[in-house]
Amino acid sequence: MSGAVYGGDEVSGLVFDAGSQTFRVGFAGEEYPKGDIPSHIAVQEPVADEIIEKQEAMEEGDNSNVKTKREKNFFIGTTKIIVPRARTTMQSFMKEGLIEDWDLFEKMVEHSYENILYSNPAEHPALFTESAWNDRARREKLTELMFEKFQVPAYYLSKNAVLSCFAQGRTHGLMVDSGATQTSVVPVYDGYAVTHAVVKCAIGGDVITEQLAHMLEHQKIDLVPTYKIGTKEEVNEGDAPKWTAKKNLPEVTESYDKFMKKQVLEDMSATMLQLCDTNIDMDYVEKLPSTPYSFPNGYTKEFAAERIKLPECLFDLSYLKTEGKKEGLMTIAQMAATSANLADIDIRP
Amino acid sequence: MSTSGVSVHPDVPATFQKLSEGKKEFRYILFKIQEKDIVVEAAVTQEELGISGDEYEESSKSAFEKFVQDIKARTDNLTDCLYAVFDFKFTCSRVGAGTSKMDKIIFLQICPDGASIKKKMVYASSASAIKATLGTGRIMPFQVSDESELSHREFLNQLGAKYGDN
Repeated sequence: MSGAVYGGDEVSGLVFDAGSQTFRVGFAGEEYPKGDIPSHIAVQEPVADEIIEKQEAMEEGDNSNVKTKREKNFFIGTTKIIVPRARTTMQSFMKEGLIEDWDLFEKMVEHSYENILYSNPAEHPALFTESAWNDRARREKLTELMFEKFQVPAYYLSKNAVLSCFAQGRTHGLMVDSGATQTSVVPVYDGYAVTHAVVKCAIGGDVITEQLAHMLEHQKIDLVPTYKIGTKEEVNEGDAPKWTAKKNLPEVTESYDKFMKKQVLEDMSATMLQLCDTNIDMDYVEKLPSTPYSFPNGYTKEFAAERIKLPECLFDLSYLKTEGKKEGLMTIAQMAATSANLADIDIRP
Repeated sequence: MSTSGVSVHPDVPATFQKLSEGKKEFRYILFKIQEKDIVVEAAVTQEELGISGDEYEESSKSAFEKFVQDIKARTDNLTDCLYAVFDFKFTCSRVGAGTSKMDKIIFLQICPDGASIKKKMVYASSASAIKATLGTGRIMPFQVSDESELSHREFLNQLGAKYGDN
């Protein structure tokens, strides 16, 4: 239910749901999360400033030549991370659906409490989600972090597949979760995730953006991320773009540039890609109306058949255009079938 | 048992007993979650249902229809959640035994798509508590999320598949 009673007050629980793409936080019992922030954090390396360091060392009465380690800067949140900065790399705390970088994760949770939930962690019980293949070491680490660092009064870790199942009002089901970095299929029986029948595969939203990038490269379309653009003019569809580069840009890192390009690709896939309701049908593909997409630099192009062929790779690997390794990949239908077959015979409907 | 902290009111097993044992006073019972307890919303007897005649012959079709109508009325046309048990009387044929009359209690976890996510979440995560109280061996559980899953034929098929030829 919505709240538990602590010291006579009705307080609501907080929910944290970490994903590879975004980190969702909110109050229990509400229909939507309060915050949905990118899981990527912009980490700025400190400048080695010897003068300041020596000065500080002197002030502390330490005359030895020890260099004080300068702190890194962390930027979190949709609007904060897209600012071009020097020596700044984009880093994510998640890897394959598991928490990998605990320092960054701690920063993320801290940011959520301070800037999204505006709550004191010691006053609210917390619910975290975990993927079905989370391991014991990570579970212990998270528990330790929450109790010792954040001093939460109560804490629970629940499987995300089970929670999605409950949100549909069901206790049994085969949960297919297609995320950014991977797609997983988890059978849920009587409110428990059947962990030995989990099937997952590195195919998901990121594969689609990669396919888009591949297509643009093939069509010789230059993808210019938003941060590079100073001015642009309106041009007719298909004409060469007229734009000028932004001046005084700091020297950005490759990971930042890649992240910003990916943002454009993600916007593109969200606005124009579409799936066929049934098996892909060439007649349907031909009839599909084309949709124009305007790139950040002002270039506009109509896309037609690509709109439907690109995302189809999740369901049919023959649409997947990649150099080399396709083996080991499975389509969503194959994953669901494999997972259902792995589950015990008496729990299948 | 339940992961939501919702518990089962003592009236629930007592009322259920009047449906499953002895004179079988009740034909169906509806349960809901009130505050932090699962309580009896309504218990309907055979007389109240007003159906006489051989129910096995038509496999409880008219009783079931009244039951569904009651569910719809109480959930504001399927925008709220409920638990329900229904005493399903039907006939099925078995190899070697011919046609036989059967009485099975079905348990419905009704969480319509139109209900709020919070409601669905609470009802789904508390279902194990009420199922354990009623006795999982005595009931056949079903999950209902829209009207199509409330059809008489669907239930009859499933019951037939389970208790019929095998």
